Amino acid sequence: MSRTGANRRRLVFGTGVIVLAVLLPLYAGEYTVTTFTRIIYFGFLALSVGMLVGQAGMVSLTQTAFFGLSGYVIGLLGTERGMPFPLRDLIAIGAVLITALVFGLIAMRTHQIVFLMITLAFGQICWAFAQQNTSLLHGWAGIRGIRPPTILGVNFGRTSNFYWAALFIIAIGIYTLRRLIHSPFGLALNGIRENPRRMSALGYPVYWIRVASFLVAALYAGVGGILAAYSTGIVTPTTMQLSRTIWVLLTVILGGASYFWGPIVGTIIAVWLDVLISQGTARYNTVIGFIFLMTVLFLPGGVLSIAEFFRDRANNPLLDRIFRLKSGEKNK
Amino acid sequence: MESVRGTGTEEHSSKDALVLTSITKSFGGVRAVSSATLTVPVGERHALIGPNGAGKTTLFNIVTGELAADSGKIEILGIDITRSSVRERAKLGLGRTYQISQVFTNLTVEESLFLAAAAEQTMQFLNPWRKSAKVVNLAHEAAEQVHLTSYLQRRVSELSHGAQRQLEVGMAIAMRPRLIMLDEPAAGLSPFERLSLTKLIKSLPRSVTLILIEHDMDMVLDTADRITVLQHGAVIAEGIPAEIRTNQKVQEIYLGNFYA
Repeated sequence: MSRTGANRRRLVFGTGVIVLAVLLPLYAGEYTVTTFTRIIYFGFLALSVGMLVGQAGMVSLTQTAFFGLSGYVIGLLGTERGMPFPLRDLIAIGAVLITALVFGLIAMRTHQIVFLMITLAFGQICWAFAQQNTSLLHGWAGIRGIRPPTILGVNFGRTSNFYWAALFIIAIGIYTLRRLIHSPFGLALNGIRENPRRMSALGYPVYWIRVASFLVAALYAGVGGILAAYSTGIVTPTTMQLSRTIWVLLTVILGGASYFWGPIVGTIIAVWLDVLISQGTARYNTVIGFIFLMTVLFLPGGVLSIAEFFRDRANNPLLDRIFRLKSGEKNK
Repeated sequence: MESVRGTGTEEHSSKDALVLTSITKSFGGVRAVSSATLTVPVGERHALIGPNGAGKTTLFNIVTGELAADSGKIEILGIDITRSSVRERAKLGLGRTYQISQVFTNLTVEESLFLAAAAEQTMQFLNPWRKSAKVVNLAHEAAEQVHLTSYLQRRVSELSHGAQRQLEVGMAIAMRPRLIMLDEPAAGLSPFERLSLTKLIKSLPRSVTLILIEHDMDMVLDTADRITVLQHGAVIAEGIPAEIRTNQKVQEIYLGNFYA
């Protein structure tokens, strides 16, 4: 297959996906559109985790806290105190970035398992605070009645309008992240993932690069959190509980943590699995757990590694043997 | 390699690239380096030899900042760096290689060399790294010097041990350092690869100072202007190759005093 042929196919595929995504509200029902909106805000969260895990080699369990934090700020300032649209959202982002900076300055002094534990602690602190604080955050009840704004006469409370807005925002997010990952900064992150010791010896400020990547990841989680708050209308401690953190992590692995599109593909699959399986059975966690287990066992590189799995069949003795047996060749 | 790292403006016009004054380092009860003093003038090729466990690599790690000395003073190009971080030392123009390859296993050769060459640049966030033609060129030049041009697009994990050792040296060269420290660069190389490495070391411009830890005596004698011998963490001899070759104490260490 020629390179231009592959590029053309990729272009056709990409255009097709974009057209289908943009026109979705015109041919699909409201439930489907809402589900895709869910994919978009969880997609932001998955991109956040995926960037840290895949590009920087840092497994963070704090990202859902940022996702919940921005939702709480929107609820507190917008819904309860009537602060108007762009201001409350900017403050929400600012709150996420400041919190991420404080957490990052501490967490980036650690590596690997200690990093995992410390980010777990941060996530749990936020969750426990939201759950126990009744005066401001209303404990378990959380904040309800969050409404998307109306901007220039366009009511984003309408499912289709909100979907288009979210789609536009994630398109910008994906484009920016792609630029970032292919920049010298992105390459430096990969270098830190591979060998932080060497990166220091080369003269890189390893600590600050990690802090910066943590801020970028928090920003993505925060934007996802704002969209989620608007879309669902509520924010509760459940928004940032540990089981969700782990669900997102598994989603990223399901799609393929080392692939740029891994987090997005993983989220699409996982959200639809949630929807389809919960329609069929009450034990849907069992089914989903089984699927995750199978992925880790048989496709450790994630769903996106399927293509590579087959492309490398010459180097894969098991596959090669199967193919040769099928085509009737004698095993020498 | 016309341009080199370091702050050109505040040139200290020091004649010495590296000055170590009574460096001492202990690990628990083991004294790995004891009161080592060493002066390496700019442009010199200086070899550090000694039996295994003599403290050569520990001394390297102290100079590059990965380990802190218990006492003593370190100066690079006239600047006291005893308390500087690894990164600050690298920025002053200190480049090193590792005895056990410290490479970026899942990156390509080109990406690795780019990272080595780009550390001095201001960090770019949104422009593709491939578009920074200047740095990419530096990376390609380094690849040519260590004969890895045809491997540029290969993943480091696909390289042979010998090629990974070449990359080790290539990354140090791509930094354009003023003081380059090679920790057993020939470890595990074939005789042919050793020859080409020796050639590469000899081809480095004299504006760059070189310190070399090596067990391959042919290579040491071929490249070094002066040799320092370490034993039990202490400097026991220093001089030009001919002096070291005939030194009684050195012969005892290497041949054992039973036979002397």
